[in-house]
Amino acid sequence: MARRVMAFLETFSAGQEHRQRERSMLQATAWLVERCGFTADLVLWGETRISRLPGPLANCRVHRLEDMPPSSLMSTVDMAACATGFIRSFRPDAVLVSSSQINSNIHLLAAAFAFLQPAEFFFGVTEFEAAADGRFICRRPASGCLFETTPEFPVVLGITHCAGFPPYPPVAAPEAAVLPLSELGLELELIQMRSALFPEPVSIIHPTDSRLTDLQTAVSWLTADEDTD
Amino acid sequence: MALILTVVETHKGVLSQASLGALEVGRQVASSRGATLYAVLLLSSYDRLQQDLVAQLSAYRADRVVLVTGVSDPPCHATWVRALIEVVDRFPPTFLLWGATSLAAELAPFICIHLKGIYAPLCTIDTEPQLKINWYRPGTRESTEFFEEDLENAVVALVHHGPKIAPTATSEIEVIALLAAASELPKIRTVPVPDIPYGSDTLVAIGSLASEHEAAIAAWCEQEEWPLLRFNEGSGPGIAWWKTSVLAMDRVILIGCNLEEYELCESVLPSAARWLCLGCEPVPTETWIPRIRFVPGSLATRLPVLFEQEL
Repeated sequence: MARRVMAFLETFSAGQEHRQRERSMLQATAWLVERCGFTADLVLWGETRISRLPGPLANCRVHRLEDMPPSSLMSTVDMAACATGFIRSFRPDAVLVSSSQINSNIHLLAAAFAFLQPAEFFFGVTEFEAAADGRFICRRPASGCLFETTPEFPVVLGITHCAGFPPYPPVAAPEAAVLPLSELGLELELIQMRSALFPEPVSIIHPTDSRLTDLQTAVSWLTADEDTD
Repeated sequence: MALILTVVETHKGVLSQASLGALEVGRQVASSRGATLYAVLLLSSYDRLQQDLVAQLSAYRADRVVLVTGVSDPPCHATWVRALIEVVDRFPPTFLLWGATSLAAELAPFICIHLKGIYAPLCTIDTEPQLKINWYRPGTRESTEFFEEDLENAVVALVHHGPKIAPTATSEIEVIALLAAASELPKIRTVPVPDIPYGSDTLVAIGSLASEHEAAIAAWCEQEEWPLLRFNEGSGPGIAWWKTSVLAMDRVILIGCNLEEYELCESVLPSAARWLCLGCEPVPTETWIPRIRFVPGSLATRLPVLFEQEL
């Protein structure tokens, strides 16, 4: 029986799926389908929509979670509950998420998969290479080195890049099927109740205008002994 | 008494700047809450060479050190997570702080799931006039303020800056020694990579907007003995960004990055460094890097001036 890969995509702005890490996550999923014989399930979180996917994902299953709030409004407990539901319903051999910082709440979901199954967990994967028996080698930079491993299954991967194979051209994405939360054993009311406990957002962050400067001032700041920030 | 844990990382026997920044935040939080600050140090072995690490942790105002030995190399999820779970089970933290590194990004969510805590990979922590965590909501331009009364569970937070306060004189410090349980580990091989010279204080990163100036930038880096990383696709001078990892650096000079490349730099280069961004277009409207300057304008006119500077 083919191994199953589940990929989770959450975007917050139009075209985010084309950005480097999200694109790499989708390309890596496609590569696992084409080169390692996986079947793929792509889960679109929150308001995420996608119209094009890498070629090998033309026949993958695309799921859209019914009424699911953005992951940033979900508690750690809810993310763990989601992982439990997906494990029960889908039994994935590999789980892929983008390592993008913007997806840090999805990283909690990935960690929950690793915690609950339990599964091996590699974060920041940048390169792939096919190995025997539908397995693969992955590499990732960390601690000043490049680590290489051949994961056992189940495995959870945080994808940073997809070096090691040429990109697949895009094709039309299959229509997303709505996945009711009840199928995952989740109750929307409970999730919404816990989301409501989050304090309201208050501000716009880190405007960069004040850090625009001319070269001479910037060099003086860069070379100053005293940290003026 | 409440416990604040700070996980510290070392590289070639030296505490990382990101860890010292996290330790400093930990000191502030512990002092504001009357809590005890524990530095958590994981090592494969502890010998006389490592004794200086403990002394440094006292100089950076840790109250106690949890020293876990017998941890396998290399530091990663497979080798560290069991030991860390043991530590947080034995010393349940109200705050677990970690310098923002690739190892923290890999392990902190997992520890947070175990603690059922709040995961704050992008945040600032204020202690005056009261304890407040500004948690930047992923994917939005908003932040959420958590006050002490909002915090029923542990906070797992990453700290994005280095130390700002000079260390004190070292003093005696209590060390709690633990031995990591032996376990079967996945086989992890270390692949030879282009080396970032040890002791380099400045790193130069180029993006696709600098393609016309690559040769001149490479020559400048060679003269200054600074490592050059390339963030654009394709071949050219410098190390491809995914082929290495940069642990610590005092200064990062970004040249000619587009927005996507800038965001990539933000997530893989040391956020504790001072950053100078030259000719990056468009200038991002927001950034997580606390110490940064943007110099807009044409690289053709800015670069010759930069090359003449005494950096």
